[in-house]
This record gives sequence, C-alpha cells and structure tokens, in this order.
Amino acid sequence: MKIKRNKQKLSQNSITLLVIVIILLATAGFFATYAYINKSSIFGWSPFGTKVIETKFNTEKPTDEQKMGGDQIKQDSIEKEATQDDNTNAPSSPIKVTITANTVNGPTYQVRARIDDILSEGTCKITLSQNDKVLTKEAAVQPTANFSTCAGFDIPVSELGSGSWNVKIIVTSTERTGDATTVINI
Amino acid sequence: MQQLSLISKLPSAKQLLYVGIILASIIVSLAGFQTSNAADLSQFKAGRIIDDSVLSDKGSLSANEIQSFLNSKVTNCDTNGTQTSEYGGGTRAQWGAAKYGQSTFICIKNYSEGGKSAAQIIYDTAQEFQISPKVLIVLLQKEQALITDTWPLNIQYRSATGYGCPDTAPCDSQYYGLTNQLRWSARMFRAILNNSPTWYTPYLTGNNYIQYNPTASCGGSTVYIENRATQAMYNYTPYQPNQGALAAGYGTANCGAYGNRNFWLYYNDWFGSTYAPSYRWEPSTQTAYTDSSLSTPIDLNNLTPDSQKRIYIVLRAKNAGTSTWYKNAINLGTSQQQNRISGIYDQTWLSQSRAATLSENQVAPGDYGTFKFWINRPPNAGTIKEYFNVVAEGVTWLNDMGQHFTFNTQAPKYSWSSEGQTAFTDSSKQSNLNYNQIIAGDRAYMVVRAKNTGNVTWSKESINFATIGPNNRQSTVASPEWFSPNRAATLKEAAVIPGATGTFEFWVDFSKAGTFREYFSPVAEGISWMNDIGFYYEYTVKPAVYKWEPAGQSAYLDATKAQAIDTKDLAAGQRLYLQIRAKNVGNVTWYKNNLNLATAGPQNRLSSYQDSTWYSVNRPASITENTVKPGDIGTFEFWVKVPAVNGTRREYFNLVSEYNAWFNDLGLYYDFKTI
Repeated sequence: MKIKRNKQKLSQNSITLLVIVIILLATAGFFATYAYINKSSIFGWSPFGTKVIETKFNTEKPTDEQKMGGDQIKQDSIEKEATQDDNTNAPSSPIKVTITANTVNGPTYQVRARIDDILSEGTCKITLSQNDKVLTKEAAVQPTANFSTCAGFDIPVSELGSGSWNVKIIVTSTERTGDATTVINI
Repeated sequence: MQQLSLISKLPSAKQLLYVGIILASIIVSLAGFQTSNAADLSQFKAGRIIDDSVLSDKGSLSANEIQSFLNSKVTNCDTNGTQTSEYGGGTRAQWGAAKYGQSTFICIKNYSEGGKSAAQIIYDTAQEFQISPKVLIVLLQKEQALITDTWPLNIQYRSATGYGCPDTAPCDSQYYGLTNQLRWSARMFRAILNNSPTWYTPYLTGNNYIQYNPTASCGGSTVYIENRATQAMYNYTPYQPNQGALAAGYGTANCGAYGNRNFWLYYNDWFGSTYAPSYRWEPSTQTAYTDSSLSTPIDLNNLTPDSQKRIYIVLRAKNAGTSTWYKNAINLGTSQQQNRISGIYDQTWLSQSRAATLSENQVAPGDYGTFKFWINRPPNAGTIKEYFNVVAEGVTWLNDMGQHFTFNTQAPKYSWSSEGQTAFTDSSKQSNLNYNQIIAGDRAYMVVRAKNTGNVTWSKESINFATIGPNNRQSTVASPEWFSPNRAATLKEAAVIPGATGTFEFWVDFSKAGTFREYFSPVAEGISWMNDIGFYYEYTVKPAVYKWEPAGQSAYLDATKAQAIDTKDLAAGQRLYLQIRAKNVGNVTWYKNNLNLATAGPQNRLSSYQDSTWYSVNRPASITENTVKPGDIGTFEFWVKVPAVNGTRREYFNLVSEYNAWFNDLGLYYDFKTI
C-alpha cells in the first residue's frame, strides 16, 4: 500500500514574498541597531533616548517653513527698498509720535514716546497741565534702531502733586513737527 | 505523521509576509523618520520673548561653530544666479543685474567684510558687546533672511540687521554695512540690558502698549515686559504678533507683524529655548592674589619661577538661571573633563575635583556668587589652562562657559648686568686702586655691583662670581681668600630679588708682571651660567723694583740716640745702637715686617755682632715705619753687641723684601774696631 504524504509545497510567489520579508526585516534591524547604538536614528529621532551630547545648534538644513519665512522676509525687504523713495518724508510732513510708556514708577513719573522716524536732531517738549498748573520740560531727540525717542522724561512725582494731568509731547525737528497726548493719574 | 502535523502548523507564506511587513513597519517607524516640527507658538509670551542671560550669552558659540552653523543653513549657494528668479525677469542673475546691477550673490557663509568672515564679524561683535552670537544670527535672519538665503542681495547685507531702517522712511546710510549693522544692534541691546542712563527707550519693563502692526488701527494690547532682554526686542521691533500671526507659524496674517514672532521661532528652532534654564551661570570676574586678604593681585599670565607657590583665586559668577544657588549645593568643579583631578589642586579644596563651594549662603537668580580658593600654581615653565565649571551637586553641571585660568610660567632665567665695578687698595674701600701703578705683589680689593635682570631670586648659597672666557678658567690673580682659582666670591647679600642689585667683593693678588684681562660672570652653581656681558678687569702689572739709596747711618751709645759713638773705639761686650736711613727709590711700597735689614756680603751671613734683640742671626731689624712709599725714607734701628775679639771687622748690610727680592747692594757697612 502506498502511503500518500500530505506534503505542502511552497509556491514560487510565496518564496519571493518570504525573501522580501527577510530583506525588510534585515533593513529594519539595521536601522534599529544604528538607532540603539547611537541613541539617534539616521533620520534624527530615536526611541532609545537622547544621546548625552549637548548640541549647541541645529545643524540640519532649514525646513521648508523656515525657508518660506525667509523668502517672505526677503520679499518684504525688497519691496520696502523699492518703495523707499515713496516713503521719504517730505520736509513738511508731520512727525508721527506715539506715547508708549506712561507710568508712575515709585517716586518718578516716566513717560516715553516713539517717534516713527530716525531723527538725528530735534527737540521733545513735554507739557503737563492740570487746571491752571502747567509744567514743561524739554529733552533732545535720540535715534535708535528703527525709530527715535525722546531722551526723557523721568519727572519726580513731587513736582506734580496728585490728581489727573494732561500730558502732551511735541517733537520738533527742522521744519517738521508732531505730537501725542495722554493722561496720567498721579 | 508527526512531521506532517508539524508542517500543518507552520504559518502560510502570506501570513509570514503580513507579519513581516507589520514588524518592519513598526521597527522602521521606531528607527524614526523625523517630522519637521516648528516651535510651538502657543508658548510664545509677548512679555517674555527672551531672557536676559540668553541674550547676554556671548560664549554660546565659537567663531568656528558660527561658521559651521552658517554652512549648514545654506548647502547650495546660487552664487552665479543660474536659477529662475522668484521675482520674474529670467534667472536670478538677470533679475539682479536689471534691478540692482548685481549678477553674482555671496551667501553669508562665504561673505566677508574688512578681511573678516561674516562668522568672525558675528563672533567679534558678540564678544565686544557681550551679546549672544545666536541672537545676532537670528537677528540677521529675521531682518533680511541672510542665514537661509541662497542668493542674497547686496542691499540685504547693507541693512543686515535692519538697524536705522524706520517703517516710514529709507534706511539711514550712516548705519550701512554688515559689521556696522551688527555692532549698532549689539550696542543697543547691551545698553538696554545695562539700563544705560544715556540710552532712552520708548518701551520700558512693566506695562507698555504694543501695537500688532505699524498701522495703529490694527490694534494692540498692553504687554507687561518682564525683563530687559524683551524690552530690547520691543525697542528694536515695536510690534507684537497678533493671534493670526501666531497661528500662521512662519506665514502671514491680516494685520500681522512678524519680527518678534520670527525671532522667537527661528531661535527656538535653531538654538532651543529663549528662556534661561533652571541652572545657568555667567562668569563675571576672576582675579588672583598672593594672599587671602586680597591685598596683592598676581598676574597668572606672567608667573616666574620666583612667584608664590600658592595663589588665591576669586571667581565671581552670575546666577543666570532661575533657581537660587545654595552654599554646599553649588560648587566649582573641574571641567573638560568633568571631575578631572586638577593639577593645581590645593589641600584646602573640597576634593581634587572641587575647588570650592559658594562663599555666600545663597545667591538668588540675577545675583552674583563667589568662589574663593587656593591653588598651587603649576611648577613647570610653560602655559597651562585649567578649566572649571559650576556644578549643582547631584543635579546637573551648569552650562560650560569654557571658564579657565591660564597659567603662563616663565622658564627660569638667570641673567645680570653690571651696575659698576670698583677696585680698592684695601677691604675698607677707602682708597681706590690706581690701575696705572699696579706692581707685582700688590693686592686689590674688587667690588662688583651686579643687577639681577633675570626672573629668579639670587641667594648667597647658590650665586658666585666666577671666571669665564672660558668658563672656570684658572685666574692669574686668584687670592688665597677665593673659594677656588675660578670662584672669586659669593654673593654678599643673603638674597637679591629680580631687579635688585647684588654685590661681589673679593681680593685679587697681582703676583706676576704683565698685562692681563680677566673675564668674570656670576654663576648659579649647579643650575646655569649667566649671560656673558663681556665683563672683565684688565690689569697691567709692572715688575716690582726693590731699590734703595742710603740716606744716612749713625751709631749711638743707646736707644735714646742722645750721644753718638765712634765705632772704631769699642770694647768687647759693649752694646751700641745703630741707625740706618734708607730712601725708597724703587716702585714698591715697603711694609713693616716685610722689609727687613739683613746681613750681606754674603747675603744672610751669620753675624758675630748679633744682639739678642735681632730677629735672627742675619736679620737685625725691620723698618720702623709701617709703610714707606717710593720716594720716602725708611729707618732701621737696632742694637749690636761687640764680640770679645780684638781687631777691626767690617759688617755689611742690605735691604731685603722677604720672600720677594734682595735690594740693590750698595755695600753698606759699619767698621767696628775693638781694642
């Protein structure tokens, strides 16, 4: 009697698939081993923790987002450059003044102004008024990075007394002038 | 059957494939493909854009690291503008030529100005104004995108940090140029960090109204500015991002302003947090003293072999973190390598790798702590750097600032210069030697003043005055007082510090006639010969001439010389007192006890007229004067005793310089007649 053997034959396709699986496993094993040893994958991230080396800076190429941000910055710069002649302030155009700080700091009343222009010369005059009381002080104009400011004003509270004061800063430079107002409660 | 059942349990090929794919996917994903993550802008705080210590961290990058960073951000620079222009007009070169007359583009990694690379300019500016080079890099990016730009225009370098560029007017030309721009920006940051009384700012720490956009109608809000670094940011770019700008990442939004947002984003993405860590420090000052009372500073860069062995160090450190430092918890440890056993360790240290703990009980963030400790300076010549870092024990090492002490120890140098040389006739140094009248047999007392021009203190035990030319030459004028024929003297002073003057004093004996030049130099015995400055004595020693002339001879009854006596009428046994006067007509001074009257005809004849007062049977007397110079007259006085022999005897005498020479024999004699 001939015994029939229940033999399963692996098809050609199955063998191919097995080879692919082995290659995939080997590849994955390589990357995993690399990541384990170096505590960092070839691609930057690792499940095995951070390698104890202090990195002072990111040495990778800029990301698309960073490049996009840079492109926008450059474009803004070029556009500003192109329109700079249009932006040139006319000799008689008003100076834009903004009061940025208006606060009592201990015994001192501090008021600051931003002048939206870089002025190499000029005068700031502050007038504080309360009913019939008027106090004026002057300071020079000081240019800074992208605008100018008044080289003042720190006013002793003792010179003012309590109550609400109207504050006006007038900036004058050559033939141009500008002002800003606010109120301070002492 | 058994085998068959086993085969039947094997997974199918398809099953194996699926399992494999799943496993591979899991492992590959674990191995990690990096996703691009920009910093989370929800963490942006308008009132705390950056901390003071982060803005001030001038040592955060070296010049080389800056260059490496710049290299990493532009891998392919379109120097010749061959790619298509983003702004139309053909290639970038064509567009640039048409628009700005510029067809080549130098990326910042290759850019230089005034002979310095951009990286070096950034580094130098950071050091000059104590501003973080990372901040300066980000500033260049947020203002002109110079860090990532692969084809930057000249106008971008011209206004690289946007300094002097108002929103409503052209940039001010007085601030043009990469170096100029960086320096003005850093100067301003430093002035604000220092709260300079001469640098007014529109925005102060505390509450300020900050707009969202240059257009006021876009609105704004009151921002409580928490620190000076953030104050500096707003005084540079006076706008805060609105919600739209924050939501847009690196993109744009309606009424948006992006300067401070982009600063924060780029900094976080490239360098990490803009906030100071819990533990962080900045070196303030480091000084070295000879004593713990800090009274005498010492320059570690100019140590000499003489310098004090133990040196007291005071290192002030700013607590630039957010945690309070406590004594015994915050120590100064050796670094590079951490916990290294120090070569300058002193027994007063906490351990061989811990120089000291804080002097103060506690140091709050922003305040300064002090580490005080002794070190033993490196014993050998050369330059040695010893690195230290602050360590929070059991917690963490703080940021390594590369803080070190440079010990520059000079090699021992033994050198001298002559401050004068004098020769005397005696050790009391009252009478100068006349170099033109040195006679063989004379002596001289030499005094040499030698300045210590080296860096080692001379000690009496080790510094001698020696013959040179050649070294250790046997001197022709060595006296018995010398240590040896090639060592004239040792230092007279116990010690002579560098810069001071020592003295050598010694006798020389001019024993031989002739002209001699004798070279000398100090020597550090067993250590080093000193520099040969060509120091010498030159002597011309004349031959000694022992010559005399008679100046008179007499005979007396006794030593009172009151009554002369006739030597031809003598009685046996009679004593008589003779006097001979002799003029020194030679060139040698006669000295008592050395210049004698001797019997002559023949020399050293045994005289039968010897008296008991004679020195010997052939030496009646020495001169009575202590010295008789050439030209002077010396006197010999002596008794003679007439022998008991009748008749006439002629007794000859002459002068003799003992051990030197007999004088010219003039046939001096006395005729004695005994009756």
